[in-house]
Amino acid sequence: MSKDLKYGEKFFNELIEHLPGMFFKCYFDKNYTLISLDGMFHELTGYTVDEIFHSKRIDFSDLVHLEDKKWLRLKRQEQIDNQVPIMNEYRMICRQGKIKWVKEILKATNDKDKGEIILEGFVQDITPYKTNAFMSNAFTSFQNAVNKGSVVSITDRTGKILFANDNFVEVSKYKRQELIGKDHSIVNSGHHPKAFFEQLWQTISKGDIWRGQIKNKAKDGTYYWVDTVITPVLNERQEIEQFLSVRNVITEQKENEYALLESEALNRSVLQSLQTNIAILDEHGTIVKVNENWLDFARFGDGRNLFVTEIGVNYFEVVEKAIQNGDEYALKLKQGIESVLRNDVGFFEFEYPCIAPHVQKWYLLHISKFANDITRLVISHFEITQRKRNEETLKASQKRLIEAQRIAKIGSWEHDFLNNELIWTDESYNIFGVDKDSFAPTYSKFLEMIHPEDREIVNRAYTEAVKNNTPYNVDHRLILPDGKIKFVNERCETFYNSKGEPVRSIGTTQDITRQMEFELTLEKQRTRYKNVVENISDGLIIDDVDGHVIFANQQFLDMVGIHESELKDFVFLEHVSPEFKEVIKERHNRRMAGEDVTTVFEYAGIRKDGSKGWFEARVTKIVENGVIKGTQSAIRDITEAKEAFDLLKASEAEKTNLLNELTKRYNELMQFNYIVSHNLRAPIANLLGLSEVFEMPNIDEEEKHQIVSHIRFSIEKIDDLIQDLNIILAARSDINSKKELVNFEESIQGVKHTLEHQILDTDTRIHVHIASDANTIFSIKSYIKSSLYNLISNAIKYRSPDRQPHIDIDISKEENKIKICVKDNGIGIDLDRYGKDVFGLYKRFNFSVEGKGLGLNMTKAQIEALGGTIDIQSEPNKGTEFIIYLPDGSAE
Amino acid sequence: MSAADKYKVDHVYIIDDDEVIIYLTDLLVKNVEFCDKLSSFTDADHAMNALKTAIQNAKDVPSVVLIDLNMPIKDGWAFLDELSGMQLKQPIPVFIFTSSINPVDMEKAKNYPIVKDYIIKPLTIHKINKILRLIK
Repeated sequence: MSKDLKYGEKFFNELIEHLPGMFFKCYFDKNYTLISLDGMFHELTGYTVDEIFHSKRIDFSDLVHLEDKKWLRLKRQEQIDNQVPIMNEYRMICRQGKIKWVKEILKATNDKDKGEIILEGFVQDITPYKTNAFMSNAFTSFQNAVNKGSVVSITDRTGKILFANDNFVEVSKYKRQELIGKDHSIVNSGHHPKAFFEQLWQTISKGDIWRGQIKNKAKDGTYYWVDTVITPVLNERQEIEQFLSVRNVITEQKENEYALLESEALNRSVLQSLQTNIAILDEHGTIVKVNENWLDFARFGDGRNLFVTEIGVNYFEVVEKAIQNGDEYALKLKQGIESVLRNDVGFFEFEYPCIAPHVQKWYLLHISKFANDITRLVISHFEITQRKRNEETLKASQKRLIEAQRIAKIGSWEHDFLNNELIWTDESYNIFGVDKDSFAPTYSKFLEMIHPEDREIVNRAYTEAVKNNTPYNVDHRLILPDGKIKFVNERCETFYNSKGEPVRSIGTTQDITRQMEFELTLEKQRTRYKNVVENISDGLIIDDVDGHVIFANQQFLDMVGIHESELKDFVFLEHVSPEFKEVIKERHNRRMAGEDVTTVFEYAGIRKDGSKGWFEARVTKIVENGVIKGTQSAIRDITEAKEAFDLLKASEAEKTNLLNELTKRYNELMQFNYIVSHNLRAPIANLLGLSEVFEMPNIDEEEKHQIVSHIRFSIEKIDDLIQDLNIILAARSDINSKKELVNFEESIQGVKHTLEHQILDTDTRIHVHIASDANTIFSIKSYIKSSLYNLISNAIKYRSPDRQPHIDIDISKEENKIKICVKDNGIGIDLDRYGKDVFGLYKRFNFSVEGKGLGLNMTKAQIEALGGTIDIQSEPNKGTEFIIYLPDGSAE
Repeated sequence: MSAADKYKVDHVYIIDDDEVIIYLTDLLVKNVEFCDKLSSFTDADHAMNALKTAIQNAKDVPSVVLIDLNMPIKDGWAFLDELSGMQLKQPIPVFIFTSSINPVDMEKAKNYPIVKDYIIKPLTIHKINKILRLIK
């Protein structure tokens, strides 16, 4: 057993040194001072061994992600203190900032000479597995065993206990010597049926891991439950030699597990739990050792049957066979094996796809020598499907990034201080207008492309930013190879090592030419606007929500007599005359609250000399992104204009009055003209005609007599007309006469008196009814009298020959109007036929009655002059009614 | 008498609400060889009815119409409007015969193609000769 153990330890040690991953040895000191490192370091980190070992440009400790540094040290310390294997997963920062997930498996030993702890072991890239929440069952149980202090025992293949850990002793309450050599059934509780253990034995006898919960009995008869994982342990001949049982009880234990760590079984267990498939070949190519994963993998197989291998199979022959079958990967594999055997290279590896029935998997094949033993080789397969997928995803996302950069015109770059390398993305080349294939960017070349006026500024900005670890953000111009000028914005972040030295900067370059051109245009417009603002005659101000003036042009400053420097303490209201302050303040507040208030208003304001003037403000809301920020107002001194306007308004009113008066006079004149040209001219024309025929030779005496009688008639007619005209002109002149209280009863009596003859001749009956509240009216006496006269005389004139004439006069009050109705039972008028002409001048509607048609026209004119209305209702041969409404004068 | 006096028209309508005018015109026509027949109307409606009947019977259709403008009920303009709208085999020349010296009326008369002239009252021998010349 001791021989096995020794071999096992050696095997473990050799194995981890040859696994695909980095081997290292370092002191467990502050900087993890390196002792040795293998070539896989470059592979894993991208840095060369020289960089870390000799030039010391980077510390070994700097490789650990900043976020992981602290806990990793504590964890390692704890693991060392507890003498458990140092196994940790953490992030490693590789060259160009690439982050890789790694798993370390380390051993800690004491360097007695230096009195320091030495860590050694290997670090494996597990990035692909991180996304898969990778962990095998066995590995979990191993970790649990170590971390939680499980009950562990080893039996031989018959079940005889070879090893019992302290936990086992403690939990089972047996002494160790009572356990060793006994059958494991010593702790059987009898709880489980026979079939339960039969199934357990079937599983582990096949070499499979069994997991289950078992109820056991302690020596004192108490029971305890354990979560058990039983792992078969194979010997070199692939036979089951022992069984490793790891049981978890819920009991805290901090016992020494060093023995467990030292045991070959544990080493194997670790080996088995690795996700890598491992096989060891002797110098003839015969497989001498494989781990569980290899066997799983071999069973899984692939179409080419290349790797269906187990212990005893000659691997070289398998490869040869595959080559003959035309497998190009097998040829590569053979060449690799040969180069390692020839000692040309320390290791050889390649990636290959494996076509499984349902999925495509990718593997990394790794061949290296078994320690320095050139006669043995270690071949391992490491599934990298996930990594491959990640790479493809990364490629796709990089493609998208390139596209995004192209669209946004943002190029990114990385400046590596270690190698003084400058790496550009495609868009960076586009922005700088250089060809990706022929131009190799460096910092000095970058500086050369900057506009000479900006070059020093940019250089200083970057240098300072790197030196002081401050943000680098600068806008500058580029001169492109074709002479064009571009505006760019540059930003970057710089990363430092633990010594505070810059390691690299990662930054962006954005083409902002269009924005800058836009800004320049904007600036031009601003200048133009400013010129306009300063050169218009209006005062212009911008004030904020609180009414503070935040901008005023010179005109406004001059207007209110303040200096620009006093503006910050100036409130617009100071300039407003007291009687307007409240209304303007309220209006401003309402406007700021989003209400629609008048935008143009006049107010009285105080000028700089203290004088009061009239101003007009035109106010516009300033809204930014939907938020009201204040107002912009144009202020104009309108004092002179306002005074002139007031005068104008007064004279306008006068003019209008005059015009109305003139129009009225003109209309009257036209009426007069009409009367003269038609009515007066007619009898005169007759006279002219009559006098002419009078002188004709063959006119006899009788004719002459007739003519004279016509002449007389015509002259009488002229006389009538002249009297009418006199009435009209007299009435018109009364429009300017004063209003007075007019008594209707008196007025009607007056008319009756005037018409006494006609009334008596025709035997007309006049009935008058005047309501008590309508007895008087404040009006023009002559108009009222004349209207009543006309209506009554009309009623008599157009009486019916068939009946006694009746006239009903009814005067009443309706609201603030006086209603006068004059109704007769005369011949009436066919209003459908003559309606429009009733009130026309010199209209007569009945041939049989003598009339001049003057009365109604005049009445209408007078009633309307008094602000009233007159209407007519009539039916032929029944009678006529005139209805007059007059304002009672109470409103005046 | 001049040569023009030898010409005379058959039938003349005179429409005027003024009895004195009718009398005067009648007296003049008797003394001057103006027409064979004079029909006088004091109402435009009556004149229009007579005219329509005459046209319908193709008998006693007037050769000339003299019409006053300012008349009650239907004035001269209304008569002109109606006559202008009638379809006639032979146009009837119309003379406005008015006491109005108002230029507005004279202008308005020019809008009627059937109106040959605007005669201001009183009618004289001289004016009758002018009418005869115009319709000759």
